[in-house]
Amino acid sequence: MNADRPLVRIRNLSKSFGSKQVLYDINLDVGAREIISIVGPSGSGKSTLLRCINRLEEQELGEVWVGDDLMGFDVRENEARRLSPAALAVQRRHIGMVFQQFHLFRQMTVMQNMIEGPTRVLKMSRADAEQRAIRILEKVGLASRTGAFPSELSGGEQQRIAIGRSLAMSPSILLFDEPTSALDPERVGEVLDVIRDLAAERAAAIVIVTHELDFAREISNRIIFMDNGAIDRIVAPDALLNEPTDTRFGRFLGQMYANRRHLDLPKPATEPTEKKKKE
Amino acid sequence: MSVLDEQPVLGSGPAMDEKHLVYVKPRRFGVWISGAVLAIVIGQALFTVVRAPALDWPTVGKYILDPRILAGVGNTLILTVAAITIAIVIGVLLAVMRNSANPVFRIASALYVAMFRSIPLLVLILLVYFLAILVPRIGLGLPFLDPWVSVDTNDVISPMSAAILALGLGQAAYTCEIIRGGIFAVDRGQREAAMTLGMRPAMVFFRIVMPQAMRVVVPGLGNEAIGMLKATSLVQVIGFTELLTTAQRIYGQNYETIPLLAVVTIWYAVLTTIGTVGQTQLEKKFGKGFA
Repeated sequence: MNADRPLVRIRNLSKSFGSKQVLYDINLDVGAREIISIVGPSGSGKSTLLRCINRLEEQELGEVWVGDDLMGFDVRENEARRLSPAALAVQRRHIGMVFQQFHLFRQMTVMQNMIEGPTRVLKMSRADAEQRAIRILEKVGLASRTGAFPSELSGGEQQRIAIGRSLAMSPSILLFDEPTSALDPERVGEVLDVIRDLAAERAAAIVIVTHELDFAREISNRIIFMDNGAIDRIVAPDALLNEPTDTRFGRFLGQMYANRRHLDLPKPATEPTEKKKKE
Repeated sequence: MSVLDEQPVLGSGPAMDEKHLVYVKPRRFGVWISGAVLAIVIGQALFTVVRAPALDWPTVGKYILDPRILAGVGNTLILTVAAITIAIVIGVLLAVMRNSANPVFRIASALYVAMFRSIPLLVLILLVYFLAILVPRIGLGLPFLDPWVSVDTNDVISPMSAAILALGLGQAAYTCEIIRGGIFAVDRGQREAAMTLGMRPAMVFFRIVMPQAMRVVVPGLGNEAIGMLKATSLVQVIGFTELLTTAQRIYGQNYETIPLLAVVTIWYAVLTTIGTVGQTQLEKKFGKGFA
């Protein structure tokens, strides 16, 4: 693979649900170790775009390349043939995803969740998989809960396990679909801490859809603002602070921060965030 | 201006002494009366049946462990287990086909269910048993051409194989629907999470979807299995010697009809109880993680 070719290449992607078009001609590159946040109003197509990257959603038009793979297709010479679901599964192996609702396998313990992919898909030995799982669980701070069922864990703990489960596959890219939106406010921090550490390691590319603007600004290389199914702006993180209030992006930022003020939460920090200080 | 109508201020009534309250148990006359009525009805029914001269208890005792009856119980169990096994295997297959992306599979599955649900079980048993009249030879070969190898249908269809086939194939249609219900109940996110780990569709189904569907499927399936236990008595029409047929043959000779039917009833009750216990255990097993 060409070293300076971006890991993910999205070309002229358009997508509809029935008669409603939700993505308009999206073009985006994600570098091999890049961290990108996608922000925007609800219904703007953020999650759908994310789900097109691992082909949980199929687009009508355009291409998604991840590494050497054209997602969903087998490319030979100048022909692209649609892959069977089983072959598509192989393409998905190195694309991790973390969902808003965690989706841990309910009938399995934490450890079983952690080793299911490595043992069944990567054919790793059980002992190796468990060893790796313990290392990852230590990193997300839950090594003591290996025997628990997901239903016995808090939302924040479940989400940290879910992140661990996708890390166990050693993905080259991690997709986060609003990972903290379903959590109680006091549980958001512990999940963001885990993602922040991952981002600092630069072990994989990260694309995160989030409403946590300060967090996005802190960890991202670039921030993408989506509106009405299109990429409205791609900006450097600090541009969030200098965005004029009369653009669509500026109005969105104003609304987000106004909501927070209304809820009596801390105002956006002008210094590289308060969360850093806590550590 | 409040949108609520004006309400009297709570606690503005006459002052009450809050101390020295004696808490009186409610008198539940309804429970006592209905309990007494039920006890009388059951008591009278038992009294009538147990004391009935036709119900000759020593005869019941004599036949309950009779080797022929025990063989009949064994055959009933074999029939039940074989038919339910066939029903589950074909039922799962039909449910998978029904959810397939391939429209031919979907239609084939729907046709199967429609056909077998519309044939009464008794008719199905007779049809399979008399299959030889409709299809004299069963063969293997190309469609519409003479088969390469074939066997006489009568050699394949015995009372036992006909009974197992009819019960199993018929039940598969119902089992398919129960399993489909279970699959519907599994959160779509579970499937997506498995897919993002790179699991193939078959693996997603057997490792994630089916184990979770089982939680919902077991009560329905237990119901069907216990129903099957008793539905096996229908195969007496083709003369397979399960429990009921065995009893009928015995009372056909000695005319101890009622005692032998009591023996049959007791055995079905015992088997049903065992089945119910098994179902409870399965429910516990598949309920793990669903607090």
